[in-house]
Amino acid sequence: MHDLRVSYAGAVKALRGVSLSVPEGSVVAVLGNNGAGKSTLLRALSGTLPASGGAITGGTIELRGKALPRDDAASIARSGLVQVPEGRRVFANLTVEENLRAGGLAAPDRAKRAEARAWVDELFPILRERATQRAGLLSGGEQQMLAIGRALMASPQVLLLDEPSLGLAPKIVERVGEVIREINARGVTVVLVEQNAAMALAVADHAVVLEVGEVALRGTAEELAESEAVRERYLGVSTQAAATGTRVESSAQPLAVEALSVRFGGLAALSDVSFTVEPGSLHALIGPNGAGKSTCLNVLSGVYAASAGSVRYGSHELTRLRPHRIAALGVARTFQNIALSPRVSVLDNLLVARHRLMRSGFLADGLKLPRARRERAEHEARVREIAELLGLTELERPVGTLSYGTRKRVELARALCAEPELLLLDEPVAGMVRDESAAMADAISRARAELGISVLLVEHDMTFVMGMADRVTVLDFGKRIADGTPATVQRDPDVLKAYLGAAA
Amino acid sequence: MNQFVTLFVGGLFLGAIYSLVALGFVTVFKATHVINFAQGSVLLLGAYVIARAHESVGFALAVALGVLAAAVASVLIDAVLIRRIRRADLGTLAILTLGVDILLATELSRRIGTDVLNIGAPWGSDVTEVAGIRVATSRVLAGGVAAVLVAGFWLAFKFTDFGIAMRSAAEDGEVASLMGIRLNRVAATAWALAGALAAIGGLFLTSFPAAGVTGSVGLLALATIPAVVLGGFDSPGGAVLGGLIIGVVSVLTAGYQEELSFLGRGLGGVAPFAVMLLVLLVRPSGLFGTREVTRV
Amino acid sequence: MRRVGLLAVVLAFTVTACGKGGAEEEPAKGSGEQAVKTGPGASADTITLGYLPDLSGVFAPNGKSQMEGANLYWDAKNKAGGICGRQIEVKVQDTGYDPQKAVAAYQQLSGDVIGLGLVLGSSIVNALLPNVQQDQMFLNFAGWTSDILPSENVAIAGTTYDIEAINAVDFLMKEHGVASGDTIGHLYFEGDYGENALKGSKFAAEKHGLEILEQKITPADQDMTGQVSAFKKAGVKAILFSAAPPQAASLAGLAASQKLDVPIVANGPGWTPQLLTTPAADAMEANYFVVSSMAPLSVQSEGVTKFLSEYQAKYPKGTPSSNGSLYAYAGAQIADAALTKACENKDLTRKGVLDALHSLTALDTGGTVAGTLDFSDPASPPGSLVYIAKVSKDAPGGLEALGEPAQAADAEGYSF
Repeated sequence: MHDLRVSYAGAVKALRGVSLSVPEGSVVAVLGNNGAGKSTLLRALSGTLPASGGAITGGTIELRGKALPRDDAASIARSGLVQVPEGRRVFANLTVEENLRAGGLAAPDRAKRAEARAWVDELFPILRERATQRAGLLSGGEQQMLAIGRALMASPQVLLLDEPSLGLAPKIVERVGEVIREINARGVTVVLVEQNAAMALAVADHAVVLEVGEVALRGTAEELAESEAVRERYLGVSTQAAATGTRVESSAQPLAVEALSVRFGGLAALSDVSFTVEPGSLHALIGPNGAGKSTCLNVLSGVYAASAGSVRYGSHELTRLRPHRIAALGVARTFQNIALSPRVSVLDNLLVARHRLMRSGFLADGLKLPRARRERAEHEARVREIAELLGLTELERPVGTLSYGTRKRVELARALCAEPELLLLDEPVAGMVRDESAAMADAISRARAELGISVLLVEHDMTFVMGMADRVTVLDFGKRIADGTPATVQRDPDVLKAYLGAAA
Repeated sequence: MNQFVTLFVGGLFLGAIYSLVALGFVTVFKATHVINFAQGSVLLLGAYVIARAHESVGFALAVALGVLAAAVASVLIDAVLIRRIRRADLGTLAILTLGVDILLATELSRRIGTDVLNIGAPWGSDVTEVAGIRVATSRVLAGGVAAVLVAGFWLAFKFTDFGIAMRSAAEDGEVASLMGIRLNRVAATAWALAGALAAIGGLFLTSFPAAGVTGSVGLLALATIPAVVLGGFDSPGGAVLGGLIIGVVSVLTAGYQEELSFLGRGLGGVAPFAVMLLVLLVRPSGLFGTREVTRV
Repeated sequence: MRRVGLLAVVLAFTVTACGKGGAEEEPAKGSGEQAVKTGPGASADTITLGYLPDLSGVFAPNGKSQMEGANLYWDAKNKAGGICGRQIEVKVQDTGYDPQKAVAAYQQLSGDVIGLGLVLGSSIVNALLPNVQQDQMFLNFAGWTSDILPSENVAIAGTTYDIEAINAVDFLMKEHGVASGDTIGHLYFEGDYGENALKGSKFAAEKHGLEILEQKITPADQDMTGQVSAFKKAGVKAILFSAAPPQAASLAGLAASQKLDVPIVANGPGWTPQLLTTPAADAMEANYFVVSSMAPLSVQSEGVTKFLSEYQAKYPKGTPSSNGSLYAYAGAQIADAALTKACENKDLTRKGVLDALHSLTALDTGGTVAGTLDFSDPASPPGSLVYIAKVSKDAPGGLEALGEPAQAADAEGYSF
């Protein structure tokens, strides 16, 4: 693969000249944060970019010296490059047996198919036992095994694995790692895309780290595991300006999470998690993908119900309240994906958030009665103040025409316009380039200082978090593995292991 | 009682024909996520070809030609119109097929005009009597053919490579293509099967007790839409059951029109839709449909 | 666009020219005596008639067949010297069986024609009526519903569906032993045709103490299983049928298969010779009758024989496959009579032709339409007699007339 460039909808550049050569018979890991371009890279390789609206705008992809077609996924699979998609995506309504047969459709001939089948049986005895069950009934780990087995049925030369450890228990992740080694031992080349750097670096020979569509680091797995640069990226260790320590004056009340558990069916998304967000503090909730951070946020804002435990804001128990009641208590949140009206101006998007605070009714407002007009003018003044605080200037522009980073700040501003006491932020810098994320960090700090609010921040980006948080809670597989100041958390052996694996 | 049994059996046989057409509808939906309103005019095309050809080439060959013509027309709709905008939303695609339906049906009804074209079936207006119930032989045959085809479909879906490919593609097209399954080929096969089923449905719908092929036969396929919705858009079993229910309901409401006259006359045409609405009130995704589909 | 504009200009010019021609009172050439007054559509040597058939819509084959019948009549007429020393010119515009298109087509024609030789479909006629009334044109209506009455402008060839149905009941009671207290079924289309017939059958049933079991259907219904079953259960002694041939075949075939061995009597539109090629042919031959004021082709009357021989001379393939030719032929006969009368009155204006039409009280079509036609009362159909025919494979057009045209006594008391 050479100088690969990919863009979505002609505008968003997801890969900017990535080159990567995968030696035959090796395991290469592709690491990076959310939005770094890992999935895009795999999509480009497997020919599924068009399905998500992307297109290769430059560069070449070759398999054993032969150029691969760019948008014919089926041909690519038949030529020996087979992908195990992210999130497993087994055919849930087909039986295990049928899933494997579907995988075998791309096999070159019957003999290969039978051979592959024997191997899959050997690798995953559990699949043989469950052959007649519907794949949707398997556990997450079994589904991952099935997804890998299904891909192996095509007798691939190169196997692409997209986040195979996502959402799986540590033991299963370990098993996935072993399976990858066994597959590789049979001469299959493996490209492994992972957020779980620990697991990836443990099985890979070589690795590259992607950052906003470019290769930031590359080297052997050992080198990278030892590398300071990787530690910095994953743990934010080298950041100088650690916690400000300055507690701002705040009208907020403490948010106490106690022994919170959430289950989806049989899967425990959160178990027994406790932490407290002190008034006026900036509290970060971090952890690898699938650790339960977003789940936690969803419980706090009333979207999910807790299975056990309590969440108290001041004297109010939040776990039994509907989302709008929680909002009325002064707890606001932003979303991972932008939820603004794109055709409406920034100002109007922000004014909508003042709704809770407006006293004159819909009718009075519609009739433009003097009282309503006065009230509207007051609200508009306040909205402009908040916007200025966050560095937003062009308030008349439709939101859809702004850059991604600015839109995220508009969303933050909208949350602040509701005059919250406690702000819940869900990955505010996901997919941002460095400048944008710096602007966001600045915006959050200023908002906190000026408005005297508490902030609970869920984030992937370690550098970002360590630079500004007063306190950090680390989750892994739904459990709290550390809680403390950024400095203590960075040195915590469990945290190191969760992020970088035993190798670190 | 006798009337009820006669009507019920008659309805089942009529329903068997609807089931075939509905099965084609579902096959296309499963494979390509298109609500194919052109199924009606393709049905008319198949019947038209059979009616026009049987005098010169004989009935058996005419049926083969009709089935082939319908299958080819159906595949062309997919290959020429649908394929390039496969990722357009459900509504756009449905309206596109509706446009095709109007064009094709208009042209065919113009050719047919007010004529009644005999389908040329060798069993004519023969009647079969079983346990005192007299049913048109063509309907009994339709029931038999439908049973064989439905069973064949079920077996093929369940056990052949094609069936696996089709179901994989239906469930997650992107992943299926990652497994080397050629989606365009699966789509073409599904459309061809739907066209063939429509032609066979058309053959029986225009055989006795119907008079023959007329311009409005394409509208008959409309009756299969409640059947499909009733069964759940993506469930072949649902389509078959839905077809049977609609057949029985429409024949029963026509047969008991006098007793039901307080609901207004001409109920037979409306009843299938009323039943559909009732079922949807209780089960919003149809009898066997998956939730995701109705949410689309 | 430009071409349309040009056409409009030419048309406008033509209209003005015609208007001018109409304003002057030219003496008729050849007659030498008193001058004949003329208006739009009539000149010194031609009379122009408009036709608005459906040539591209669902009734296109019928429309084609109608134009065959019309041309047949006027060609022969022109060969014999025309009317009033003038040749008859036929101008045709397609309606596509679409009222919108029909109105536009009428606008194209109306400046040039003296009247409309034949218009198919009551929806079309209803759309045209305001203009036709304003232009004082006469219009030959290929449709037999009494809903269109009263109208000064519309000429119906014979009687209406309701009267046909009354005659059908009369026939059933006289010839097929239907008696007071019996139930008869009536299968009919929703819309003016079927409902007009139902009005007649209900009237007759009330008079004779019969029960009518109604079964309403639409043209999209092709399978009469449920209806036949309902008739069988009710033990109907006979079935009246006011729908189209596809439903006729299904009804007759199913009745036979369910051993419902009763006579079925249909209105005129319920028959086409093509039904004899359907599987239901045998069943129809046994039990199917047609009541219509239009003659079955097997009638040995002067008009029908003439029509058939002219038809065979021009189209050697044989008998016309649809009823349209005879409808248009009969319509041409009526137009001919009205024009001839107008010429005698020395008034070939549109108003003159309408007046002439209303002065016809005993028009004899030579049997193409049953009985003699009386156009003097705009509120009732010109005819009241009907032919009753049974299906026969050997008869020309598949229908064999049963006796002479007849009229039910009940029809006298019926109000439209």
